[in-house]
Amino acid sequence: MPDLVNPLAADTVAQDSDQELMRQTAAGDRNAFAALYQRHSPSVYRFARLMTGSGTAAEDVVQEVFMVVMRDASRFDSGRASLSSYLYGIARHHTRRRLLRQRRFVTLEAGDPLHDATTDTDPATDAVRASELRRLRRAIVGLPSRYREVLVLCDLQDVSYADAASTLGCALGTIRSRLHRARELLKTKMRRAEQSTSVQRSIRCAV
Amino acid sequence: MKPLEASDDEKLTDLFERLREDEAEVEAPAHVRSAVLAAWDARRDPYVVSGLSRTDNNKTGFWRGAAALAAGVVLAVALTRLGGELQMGIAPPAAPQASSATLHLVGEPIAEGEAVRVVRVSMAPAMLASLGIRSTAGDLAESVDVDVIVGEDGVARAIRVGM
Repeated sequence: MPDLVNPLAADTVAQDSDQELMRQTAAGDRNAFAALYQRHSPSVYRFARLMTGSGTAAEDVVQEVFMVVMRDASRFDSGRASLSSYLYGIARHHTRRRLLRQRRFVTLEAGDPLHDATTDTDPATDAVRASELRRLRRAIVGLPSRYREVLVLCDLQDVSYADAASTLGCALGTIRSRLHRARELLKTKMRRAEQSTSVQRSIRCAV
Repeated sequence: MKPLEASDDEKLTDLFERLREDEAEVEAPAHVRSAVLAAWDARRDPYVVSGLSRTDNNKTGFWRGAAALAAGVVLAVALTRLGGELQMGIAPPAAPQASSATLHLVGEPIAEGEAVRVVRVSMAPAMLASLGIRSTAGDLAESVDVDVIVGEDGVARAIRVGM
């Protein structure tokens, strides 16, 4: 079947609330489902990519999340959580399952141009910034998942503490303490990575 | 461990900001959207190709799926027997390769790139026999593992029986 969405209908549904779109999706409205995808897939993809360090894994997670939406749209209860929290919750579940299956964290994919995207025109500055961001991404992927997910949601996806608590099914205080711990761990990892790079540079100079 | 410094916090905040900017335009590739919408179409209209009318009634859908599975199994068995009879008149078959499983195709063929799921179920050999499938595990076995390959629309595409 062609990948077409009625543009007029799509314009109309694009204005609808998440709750209304979920209701229409449950009733079998393809345009509503497409609008939901358009609205929420970028944040789900970014969350999964930051969690796994892999674009391919994130693509799979996005598909899994929207398969659940198309199957269980009628079960969504907007009184319990926002749609974003609901989708992040599903994405988190599938990300965890994936990481558990692999029994290790996925390494960052090399050669992904998005990982190195910078806007500076000075090549030297670009290189330094790209290198720092790469180091940061690695450090994030290396965090234990309970800290990583809080950090990705709150610090990188701008999710409120309350929504993060709803997504992860824990208390607000737990979110705060995990976030604090996640940042501490991240700083330690970043400092170690910097020291390691400095040592490598010194060795190179000595040789 | 070295105590954390205020400059570390500032640096981390700055790095987060840059990472957010870097990620702002990132979204899933177009082929993911196509795959998701194709899954929607397949799920909503699984019977259009076969000319059956669509219904949202899950119970009816289940029985239709079950009927399709049973019909597919009967067809597969009939074709296997027919093939065997034809072979008898042509040439002696080569010695069969040792295999660990037999795949029975049922329902619609698996589309290229379709994400299928494998659902493993345990069935009594007698149940399998009633579907026209014999397992070399024989009637002595309490159960036989059967893998049902399910398409994106939830309809079985094939079953694999451990031999």
